[in-house]
Amino acid sequence: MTAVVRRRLHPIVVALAALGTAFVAVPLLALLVRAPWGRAAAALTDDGTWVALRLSLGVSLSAAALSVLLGFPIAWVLARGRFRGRNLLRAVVILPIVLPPVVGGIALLASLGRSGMVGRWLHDVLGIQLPFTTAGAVVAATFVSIPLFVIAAESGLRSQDPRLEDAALAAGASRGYVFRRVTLPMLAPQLLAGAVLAWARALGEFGATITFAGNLAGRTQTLPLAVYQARQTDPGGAVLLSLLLVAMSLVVLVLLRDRLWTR
Amino acid sequence: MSLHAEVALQRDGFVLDASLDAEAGQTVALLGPNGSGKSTFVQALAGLTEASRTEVLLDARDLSSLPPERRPIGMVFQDLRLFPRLSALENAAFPLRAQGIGKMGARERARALLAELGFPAGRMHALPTDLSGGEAQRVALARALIGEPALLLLDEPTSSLDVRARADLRPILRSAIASFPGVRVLVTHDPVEAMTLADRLTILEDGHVTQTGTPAQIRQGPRSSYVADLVGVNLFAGRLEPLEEGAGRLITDGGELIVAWPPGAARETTEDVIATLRPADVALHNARPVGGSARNVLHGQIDVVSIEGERARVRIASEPPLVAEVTLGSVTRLGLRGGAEVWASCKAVELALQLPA
Repeated sequence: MTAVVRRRLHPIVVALAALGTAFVAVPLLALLVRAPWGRAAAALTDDGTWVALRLSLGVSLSAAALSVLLGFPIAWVLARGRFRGRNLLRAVVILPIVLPPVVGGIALLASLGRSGMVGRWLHDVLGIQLPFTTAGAVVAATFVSIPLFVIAAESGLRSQDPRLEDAALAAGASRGYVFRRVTLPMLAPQLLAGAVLAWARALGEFGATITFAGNLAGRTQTLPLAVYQARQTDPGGAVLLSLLLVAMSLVVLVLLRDRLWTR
Repeated sequence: MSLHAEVALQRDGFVLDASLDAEAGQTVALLGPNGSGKSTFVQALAGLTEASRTEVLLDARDLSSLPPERRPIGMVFQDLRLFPRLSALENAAFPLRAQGIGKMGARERARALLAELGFPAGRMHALPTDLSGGEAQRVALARALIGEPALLLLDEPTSSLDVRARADLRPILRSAIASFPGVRVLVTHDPVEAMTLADRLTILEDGHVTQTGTPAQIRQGPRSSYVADLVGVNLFAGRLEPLEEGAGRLITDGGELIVAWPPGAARETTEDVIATLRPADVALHNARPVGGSARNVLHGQIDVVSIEGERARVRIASEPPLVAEVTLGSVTRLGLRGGAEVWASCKAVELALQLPA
């Protein structure tokens, strides 16, 4: 940021920012200090870790993809629609952000569980069971990640100049072509940012997953759940797994930094 | 081919109810002050704004029921609206690509058209934000022309440019318009642009058409003070010949004028040069002026004196004929009235020249 703001920063601001940074960074640094580095190699190449890591990546990427697919139409309606109840719709869709994830998990069980409103039908008619399956873990992660994508996509759509789409129509482009060649390219940075945030949120998802999908190694036990379980038997291993999660999220956010924050 | 367009709409107390007719190969300028509804009118022709009634008859075919993307219209927007993520070349090729023409073919045609419009070959891949005003304007023009539409709508095509870039662009605009075979509608608030580019004028004031006609017809009989004001520009067209250093002689059908040689232009005889002169820049005398700096001193009989507020417009049957604008005080002091003999003078530098492309 100093590259953009040419004026010297006030020392008090710098001090306060340092304090805030410490608040976030010190606990993370403590993980580094606490980690039993001697067994790091063994713990990280452990089969159980790999299974959880693979599952985490699969579940979080699927959840991010679902968030994009389900969230984009919502964002479009919120940004472009003119109807009563739009604010209510937005509040409902964004709710999972502020809801305790465990509440989300219970809500998912009530709707998609074997005896839930929709879940019963899914099971009896289509033979699909979501609770305590990998698909269920994806559903739980999607539930909590969608709002992040919707917020990013809606703000992107709102900041877009509709007159450019007019110009494209006047140039003879079909609505689909306008969307692909004009709307989407202008929107891409915000959509990417939203998808990455949704992915990061899904990667860290715990409460809704353990409530709705359980903690089954190899099926629903993602990294956060593995951390939770390891804590009871192997605190050092839990720290190492935590560091793995921190590192993955940090790398992605750093790679994304400019696109995400400076647009 | 001919166009008959009618638009009626009401928005926040503003009422637009106007019609416009144009023939293929003809440029009709929709001329009016800011806020008169010109842009809204052409937006409605393109199908980009809701109107309570639109009729866009291109020959017998009514376009108004078609969505904008199906109307055979090419448009240059006042704010250009180039696509920010596409290069200059891709912007120009956009309408062809949208029609499903292959990338290579579309780009080739876009490249040729851009070159024709004087767009520098080395800038084809620049993004719109990196283009100069004149370059961006050429891209917008290319995008409007490349699909070979039946109807070309130019909404204030030079208004985003500074004076210098505008002067650069105008000859290119003129030749691009002249070679466009369909119906041309030019929206402008600039009378000079309208007079130099259009065959017919439709004057729009406060949402309503107040006058239509050829520039000459409108000049001869203004029907509102706005029209009188804006057509008050004297316009001379003819051959420019070099005179002594820094000066030239503009030879028109009606007579000759001394003009300042346009800076940077080659000193050679040039056809189709247009000069404009503001009536307020013409001084009137009741005897031949001597010893002044004015290079042009014309003599003639006063055709008519029309009073407009605090000023009077004096039309003089000089060679060439011209209109002067003076204060009411001068009218009395010099005894200006129809039939009186008068001398008119103006300095060479007051004649603004436009060279052909």
